[in-house]
Amino acid sequence: MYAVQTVLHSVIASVLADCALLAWNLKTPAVKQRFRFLALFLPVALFPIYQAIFPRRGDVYFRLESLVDANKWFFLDIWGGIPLLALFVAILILTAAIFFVQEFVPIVFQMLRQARGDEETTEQRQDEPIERKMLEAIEGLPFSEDSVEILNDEDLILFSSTGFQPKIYVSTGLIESFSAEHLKAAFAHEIGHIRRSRKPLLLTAYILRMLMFYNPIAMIEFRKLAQEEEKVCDDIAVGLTGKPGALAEAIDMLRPAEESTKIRGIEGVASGIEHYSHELLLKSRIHRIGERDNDDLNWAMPYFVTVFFIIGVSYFIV
Amino acid sequence: METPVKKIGKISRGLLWFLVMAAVVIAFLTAVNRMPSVIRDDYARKYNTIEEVKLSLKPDRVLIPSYFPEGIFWPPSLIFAQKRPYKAVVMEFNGAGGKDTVLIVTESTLKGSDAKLQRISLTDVKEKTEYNLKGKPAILQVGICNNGASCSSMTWQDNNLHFTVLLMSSPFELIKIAESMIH
Repeated sequence: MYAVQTVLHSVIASVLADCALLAWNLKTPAVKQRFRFLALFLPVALFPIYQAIFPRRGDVYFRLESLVDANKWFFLDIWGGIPLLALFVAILILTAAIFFVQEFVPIVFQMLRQARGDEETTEQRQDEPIERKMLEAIEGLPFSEDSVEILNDEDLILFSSTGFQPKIYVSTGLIESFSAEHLKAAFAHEIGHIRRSRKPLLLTAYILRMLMFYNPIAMIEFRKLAQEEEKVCDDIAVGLTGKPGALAEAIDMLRPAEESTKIRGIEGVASGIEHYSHELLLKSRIHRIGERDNDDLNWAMPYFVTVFFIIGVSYFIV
Repeated sequence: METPVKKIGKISRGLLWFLVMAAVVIAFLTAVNRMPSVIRDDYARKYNTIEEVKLSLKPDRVLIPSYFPEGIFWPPSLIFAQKRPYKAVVMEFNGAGGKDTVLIVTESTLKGSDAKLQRISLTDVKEKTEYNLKGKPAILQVGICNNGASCSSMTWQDNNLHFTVLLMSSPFELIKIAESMIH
């Protein structure tokens, strides 16, 4: 029952949050994140709170007067005797599988790759022009050049590690491909990620996402939240460099080539979808950098109105 | 820079739009909730009469009391019935004054479902005994219900149907009601 209700409440929270963003025309990524966070946090908390306050919520009498009684749909037969509940459960299982394959396992690989990245940086920095370009790019940014690790790799690689000793990892291929200005913008974006890691929003969101590993709405909302995080870091980068154009060009240069995504079969379809989604995000970021617009609205009232409606409507959905 | 009046105007307009969107969402949910009942009419819903229940759900049988203590009258103040996820018929009767439920009769194919089906239940059992209800083994319980009132209940099984009668009164009247249901 908890699983069913968290999914249903997630749907309501997601829809109402989107309605709020549309109604008040809220564009600032950090503000949009706060609204999307509702779809992750509230569904986890609401059901136990409702049951504690009104234990008979969910009995027949309540269901008779409810806004939505999910049992009515779940016990509908489809394909000769199989209830719709079976399809619902199948979707939850598929979502859980996607979580483990697409998110949990890659995180483990990422951690291993970062460890490998540490090992690679024990190599001597031999190429002086590369190091000089890196130093030129990091100059003026609030980050120590000692915390920048250069990876000997021709591919365009750039990522950061957070924690007590944050580091930026950049490949020689990327340093060679980018100008100092583009590199500065890219570094500034990573500094944004490092700064943001000190605020617990994304970490908390991911913990909630893990708790609802079966919830397809939580999966979608977390991805949207992560996409907004990229835009927040873009804003930080522009704030640090004062050059939005350089950042937009740097992002454009990071777009993967078409040829590298031609894989056949089901893997090809999944890869194609992932590539298309990534393309859309990068294009949206480039477009947004060009037309950055912050809300001039105090978002507190819209936020509380949205929370109120989510709590109120979700109560009557069982 | 926008004036405070313009900002308040923006917030107000946004609030209006949000309320409209929320109303659309609620209307949509209401329609979604009604759709299964259009396809099938055997989900839990209220009925006006027992005859409607018999016509709609065609239950195997519905046992109706023919004896009512003073102050309780036929027809029931509330009838609801379902076929999914299990068969059940619930009748509530109000007492004198017509406000409070004093008698609940439930029958269902799921044993123990009376706790879910009844809005009032016997929570503090003072006495529990077996009773021979016209040849059928029954359990008679006396105690306090969750609404704080003294009450008694009788439960028995007949073939695949489980019956429960709950009365906000003495067990003697309850036994008469239960016996009037069995012919």
